[in-house]
Amino acid sequence: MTAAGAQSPATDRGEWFPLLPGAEVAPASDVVGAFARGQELVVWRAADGTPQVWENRCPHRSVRLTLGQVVDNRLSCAYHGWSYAADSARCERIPAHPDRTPPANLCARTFTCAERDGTVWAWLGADAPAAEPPAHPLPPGWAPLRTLSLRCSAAMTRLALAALGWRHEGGALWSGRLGDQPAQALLLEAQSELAMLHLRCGAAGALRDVHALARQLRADIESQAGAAAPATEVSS
Amino acid sequence: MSFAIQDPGLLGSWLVAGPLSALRAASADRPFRTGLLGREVALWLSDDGAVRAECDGAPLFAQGRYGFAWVCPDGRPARELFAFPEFDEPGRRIIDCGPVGVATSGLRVVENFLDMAHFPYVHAHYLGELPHTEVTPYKVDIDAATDEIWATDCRFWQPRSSAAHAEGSDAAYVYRVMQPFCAMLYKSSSRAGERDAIGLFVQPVDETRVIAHTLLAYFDDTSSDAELIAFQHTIFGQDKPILESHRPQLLPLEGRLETPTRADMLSVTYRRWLRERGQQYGALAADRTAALAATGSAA
Repeated sequence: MTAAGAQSPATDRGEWFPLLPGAEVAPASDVVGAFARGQELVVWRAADGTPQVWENRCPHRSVRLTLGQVVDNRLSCAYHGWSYAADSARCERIPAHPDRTPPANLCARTFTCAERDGTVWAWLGADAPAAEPPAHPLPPGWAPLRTLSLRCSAAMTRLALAALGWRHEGGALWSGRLGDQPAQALLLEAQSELAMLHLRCGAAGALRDVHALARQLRADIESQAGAAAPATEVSS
Repeated sequence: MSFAIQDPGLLGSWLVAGPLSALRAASADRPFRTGLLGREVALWLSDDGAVRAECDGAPLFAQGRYGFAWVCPDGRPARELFAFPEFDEPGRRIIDCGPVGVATSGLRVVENFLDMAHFPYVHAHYLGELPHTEVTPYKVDIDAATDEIWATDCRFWQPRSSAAHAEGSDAAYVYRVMQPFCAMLYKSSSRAGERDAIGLFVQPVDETRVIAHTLLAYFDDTSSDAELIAFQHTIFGQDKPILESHRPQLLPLEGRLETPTRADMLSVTYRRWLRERGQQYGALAADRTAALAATGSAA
């Protein structure tokens, strides 16, 4: 388990972040927002399915690329239609000047990403990752259930999960139960006070009950974290 | 004066603080209260109709012009308020389209107002339409006498240029920046040979929250006031989600965080003009701009 320390942001980004279940991003169509350690990201897929994890910012006027759409295997910004190619992130089209080729160095900022065991992972470090994302295969017959957003830090979430009887299985993976149903969770440090839990479980008997239990898990974690943390104003 | 203004870009400037219509129901005892530069300002009309303004009980230089109350936050007005001759021109209809709150820097709002290239994307079927995306070369000058930015020879194909335009036309635009937070545009009117004027007066409530006031000075023989206001609200409603999605919200005036193209000549001039005045309010400091360009970290 990674200890939450006080390293400088430049050095502590060298880890894989489980952004979201890959099924949430359809190829050549969906444009999805994500966070990892405060970095705002846009996630989409090329026509061949290759995941793309970029800074959520158009280099032209710094508008979020999540407002955009995928057109012809490029991510097109909603503001002026500047269009960035899959994989290279190179700007290939500036509609205000349809007859000119954009400069070759005009690119959106990309991050290393990989898809493994049904999860899209991002690497924020400046150096290339030494290894693939950790293997957290879904047990046979299991599927992603939903993602919980938690208004607390990843470190608090770890403490709360442990206190609630969940077990850290290494990497981002935790195992526990939703009622009597075995479950797993991939923990993402989205922002300093925002954690995500990607829940997965086996074929649920009553889906409605499992979702109610997931919401209860969120309430329990936030309540544990709130009791442990100094009182803070919660902005709505 | 109670505003501790250090920003050279704001020294001696006039800032809009609300429509005069809002002051008519106000009094010294029950003033119209609004936000300006992170403070609360109280405004009302004196018995002789003059605008009175206070911040924390201290009086501010204030005046009523063009249907709005203007205050000089540091008490040392460096110049008269900009000229707006169309406001008094016979035959023009003067319509205040009402205040719109926007969660971004006022400099972003003005820059967006000066931009044609977004028309086919943000204002599709109104101010632009695919595949008519090209921005042809235009001229940008700074008027030596007034220190205003003027952009001329601007043309853009528009399917529905205003409430009175039923079909497409090649619209001619002239843009003008009078102050960091105030700009005008003049565009082809539905009345042949005339130009309509639109004023954008941005009230900086704080560095990343503004109230945008839009004033029309139009020749329009067909549309009702409500139709003209509704059209403007439609356009602004399309801009608002874009404006509120800038990260960083503050406008970088230098460095390579943002990349302009030739169509952005007016924006490039506006940013340089702000930089040369030493504008800080609503602008991203140079060291933060460089840090963001280097790391891409969230602002």
